[in-house]
Amino acid sequence: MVLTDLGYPLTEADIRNLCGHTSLGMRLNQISDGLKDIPVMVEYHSAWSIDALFDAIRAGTAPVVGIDLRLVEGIFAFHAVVVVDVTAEQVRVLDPRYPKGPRQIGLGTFESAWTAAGCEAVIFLPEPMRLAL
Amino acid sequence: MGSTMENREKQVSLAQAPPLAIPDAESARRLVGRWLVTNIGDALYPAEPTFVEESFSWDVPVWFSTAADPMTALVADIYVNAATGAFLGRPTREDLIERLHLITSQGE
Repeated sequence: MVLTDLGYPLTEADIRNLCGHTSLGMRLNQISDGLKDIPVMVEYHSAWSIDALFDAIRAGTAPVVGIDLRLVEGIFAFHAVVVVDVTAEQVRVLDPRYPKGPRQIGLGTFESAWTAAGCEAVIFLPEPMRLAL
Repeated sequence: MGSTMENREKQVSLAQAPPLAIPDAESARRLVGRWLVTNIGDALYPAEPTFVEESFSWDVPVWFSTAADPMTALVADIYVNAATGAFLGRPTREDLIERLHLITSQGE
């Protein structure tokens, strides 16, 4: 979804192939290398605070983040979602398991789930935006 | 009098004891979870750790587990020293891939 918005409509399978997906899953820190031939700026962050993440969302990026589903819906698994909006109480995310549209997660629950999954975030920026930041 | 001094000495030594790096099961799970997502892959998940008194470590079972197929197979146990947070031996990515292939081929 994020790459499509930037003009590069890759499928989920394309991204997995490019980014070293194996039977053990994928790592968000591989995305930058995997997409190096696509002219977008990919930034990987693993030391952001929750406030830094929310600032990035409010700045118009849609970060891909890992979350621990155990803390959201009781499923023992890590999962990646795209965060599209944050309000005082809710975080709206695009989850490939819910193709009909964004789902909402309570702010505290999201923070716990994101922290438990290692506080990782990947943002995609077009070149002009990178220069502006 | 003597016992009061003894108590004070005990308090001082307790106050100087360094905190445990991994004091509880949730900390152990988070440490292993972070290692898994940054070094191995997001299809592995740390289940409930148990404390092993003999080695003063946490035993964290690692499962092949995805949102679509949660807790499919136990692939490894990872041990973390409770005092220092150091991993006491852990499988490599290649080890884990091999184990997972072995488990899935046995299930076919």
